[in-house]
Amino acid sequence: MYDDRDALEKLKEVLGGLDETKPDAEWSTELKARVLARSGGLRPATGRFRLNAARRIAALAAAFVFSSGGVVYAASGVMPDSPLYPLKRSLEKAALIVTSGHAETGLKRAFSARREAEARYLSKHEDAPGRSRARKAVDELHEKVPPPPVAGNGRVKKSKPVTDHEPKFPQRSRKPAKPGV
Amino acid sequence: MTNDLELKKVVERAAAHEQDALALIYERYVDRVYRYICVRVRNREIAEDITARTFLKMVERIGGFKWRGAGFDAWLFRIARNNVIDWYRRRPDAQEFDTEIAENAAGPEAIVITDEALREALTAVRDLKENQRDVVLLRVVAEMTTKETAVVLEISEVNVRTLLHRGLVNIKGALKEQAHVR
Repeated sequence: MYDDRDALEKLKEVLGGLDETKPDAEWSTELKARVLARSGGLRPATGRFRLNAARRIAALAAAFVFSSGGVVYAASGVMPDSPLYPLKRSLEKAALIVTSGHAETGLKRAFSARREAEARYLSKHEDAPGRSRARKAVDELHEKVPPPPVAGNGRVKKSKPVTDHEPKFPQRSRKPAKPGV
Repeated sequence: MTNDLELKKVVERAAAHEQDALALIYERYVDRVYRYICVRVRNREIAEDITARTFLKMVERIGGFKWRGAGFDAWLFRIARNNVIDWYRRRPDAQEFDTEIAENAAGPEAIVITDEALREALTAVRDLKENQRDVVLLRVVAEMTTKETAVVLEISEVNVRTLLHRGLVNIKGALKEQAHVR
């Protein structure tokens, strides 16, 4: 009977001459460096850039907010008197959790503009039920975001400490205007 | 890396893109992968190109590698084999496994086989049907087990044994015929 093992061993012996077929050492070293470099670019995030479970959820929420429809909805539609306002604020907080650096500063400035728009809205609708919520949001914002530097004479104006910064929330005048004045 | 358990640990670290583990894997496999590709394409430049593609693809995909049955060897050689197939698909004019290139020493990149017995054996392998040739090369040149070969080719182990048997019978017949002609 024909024995495969025997034939295989013989063929291995003959093709054993191929063992001398090796890649050029210099080329092999170069390829190794390329492989390791490629791996460096694909390395999974570690340390502060690694998202834990809570941050992943926040990231998903932020992705939802900043997906095309979400931006328009969150930016223009929901005002403090809306029942959806707390959701909008939660999503903003989630977005701030998952961003850092320039992106975070940009978001804070965008949210600052929203607070301003909300303040304008409430000044026109003085009896709006969300007034206290909006005031809280503005106060939180001023605790977190330093005012942008003002370049009047070309120099960057030194900002005041954030605690001294007065909220620009429109105040209802307590004293009624004198008649005839 | 002397046993499977050790290799498994190294592969797991490589999957997390640890550089020393990737370097170990590269060192372990580069010669075998290159040799396997060389035998199939018989041109140094092409073999280098396909070997590079194989290892770069390995790095990209190793994060998703799952240790099942045949293990890492089968996974890596499947990438190598697919790259060879892709290379020829992109160049339909090129002829795979062209021993004539070697015999005629066509250009500095051609791999010249001076050993007559080896050349005859390679010619006999070249003349096999594609599925038999695949099995013979993976079992003999890539030094894979029957199980690993089955995984690479996505066929059963019984099929691998059958194809190997037929391939070896055909090679033996071809070599006998060549000896008879001489």
